[in-house]
Amino acid sequence: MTQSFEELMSRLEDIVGRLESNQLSLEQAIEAYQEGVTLAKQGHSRLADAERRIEEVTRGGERTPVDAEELLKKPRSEDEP
Amino acid sequence: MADAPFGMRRRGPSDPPLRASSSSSSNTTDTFVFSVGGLQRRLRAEVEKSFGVIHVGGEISSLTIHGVSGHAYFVLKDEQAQLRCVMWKEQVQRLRHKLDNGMEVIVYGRITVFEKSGQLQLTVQGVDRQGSGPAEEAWRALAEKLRLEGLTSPARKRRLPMLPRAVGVVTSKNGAALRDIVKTALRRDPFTRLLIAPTPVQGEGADLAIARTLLMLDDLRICDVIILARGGGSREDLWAFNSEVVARAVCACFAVVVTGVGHETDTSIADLVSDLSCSTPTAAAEHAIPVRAEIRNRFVVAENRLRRALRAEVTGRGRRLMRLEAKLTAQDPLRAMQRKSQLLDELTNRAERSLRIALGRRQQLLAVMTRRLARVEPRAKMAALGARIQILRAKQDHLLARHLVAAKQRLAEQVAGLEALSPLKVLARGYALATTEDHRVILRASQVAPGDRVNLRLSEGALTLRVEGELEIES
Repeated sequence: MTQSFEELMSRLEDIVGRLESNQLSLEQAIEAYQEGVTLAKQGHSRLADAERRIEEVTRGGERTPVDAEELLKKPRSEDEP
Repeated sequence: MADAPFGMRRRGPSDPPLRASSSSSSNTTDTFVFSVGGLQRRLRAEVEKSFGVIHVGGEISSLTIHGVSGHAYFVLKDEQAQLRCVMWKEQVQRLRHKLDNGMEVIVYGRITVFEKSGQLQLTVQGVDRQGSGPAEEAWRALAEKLRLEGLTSPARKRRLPMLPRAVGVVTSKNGAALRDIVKTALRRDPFTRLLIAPTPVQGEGADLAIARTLLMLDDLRICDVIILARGGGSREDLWAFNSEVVARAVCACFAVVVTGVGHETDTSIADLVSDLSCSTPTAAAEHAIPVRAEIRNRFVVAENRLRRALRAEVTGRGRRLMRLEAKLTAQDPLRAMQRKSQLLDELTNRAERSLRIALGRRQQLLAVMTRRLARVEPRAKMAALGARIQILRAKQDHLLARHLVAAKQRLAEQVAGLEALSPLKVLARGYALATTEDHRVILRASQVAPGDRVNLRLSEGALTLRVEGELEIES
């Protein structure tokens, strides 16, 4: 099970804090650094792992892509039932 | 008031205790005495802590909207009591209905104690017109029911995910709310993934449609967050969001639900049970969709800090290592020994050198002394003196000898002269020598008188004669 983005982030910040505290042995510091770099990489890849995708989900759960520009161009109208 | 006994000031608890006074009240010293301000502060803290945000129903009266600040001040009253209320400009401006005296309302906000006057005061955050109709009654009943079930509890509310994989939107397909959300989403994160599930939000059956759409979208398990939104409308238009079925659907969602219903402070039932309620669809989108660049920046910052920290760690340790190494080599016994032996050599050399120099100087001195000593040696001096004595003695002997010869010769000559002059020789020639009794030679007749004895030496023998007188002799 992959960790959540929050876990990843807080783990990374924890590691940075511990590394900055100067209380680790050199081995621990290097280990922490490597883990931190790995986490940062994962974070970046998760951030990059996204593309703009807007879909419309219909009642049966089917998804069809929606063009954002089209959607935004629609004239402002009052809500309809 | 003016003649109140202020002679003895009562002090607050933080002030030093008062000296017991001889005045009327004897137990002043052990009674805790509040200052007025202290009591107000204490009351305010207590009130704010125990009540927090509350809803209060009543009628607006004594309304004034301050011309300069725009804040609204009014009194909320019912048959029994009155409550001072203040509503800040920003909240006043967001109201859909203008406030008016006599208006029946439910206000909500924080209750506090206004320090100056000591009066209770409600800082109003929102105002709901209080209908007396069945819809309002139903709203209150449902809110109470859900509250009792714990569904409105803050503990139930989940935090929004930092980076949702996808954000669902449940709203009307043609509403302004959808466009606001999409616009906001794209502005904050161009890579956002949106799943839009359109649903009618008003009219017959809208409550069921909303609930069904919400659950259908949630069942896909794609969205981490679902925005349930609807643009502004009248209180009646928003009724579906006050329905129990929608509330139950919201509570059942796996995704975190953010509501953005209406664009004012009206609270819907959906708002009460959602994880986060926002006043508008735009605000809901802003909370639900993170700014990706900001998050990326946090990673970049964290990476930089990591790198810096490790570098600092390593260089720090390196420096420490070098320091220790330097200390260690300084302490190396072999080196210390080498250094000591070198020192010893040096000292030896110096000692030898100075010894040699001292020795040389002494030798030189000795030579000088020896020479000087030799010069003053007594035997040599004596020998020299002896030689000199002999020379002088020889000289003396020679001189003496010469002298002696000369003297002998002179003596012989003298003796010869003497012999020629000897009176004996004269006597021999017939002369006699007359002398007085005391052996003085008599040269004149006057030297003797008649009767004196005279000695007369002859060439052979001598005679004693007596003077008879003087003869007259012809010259």
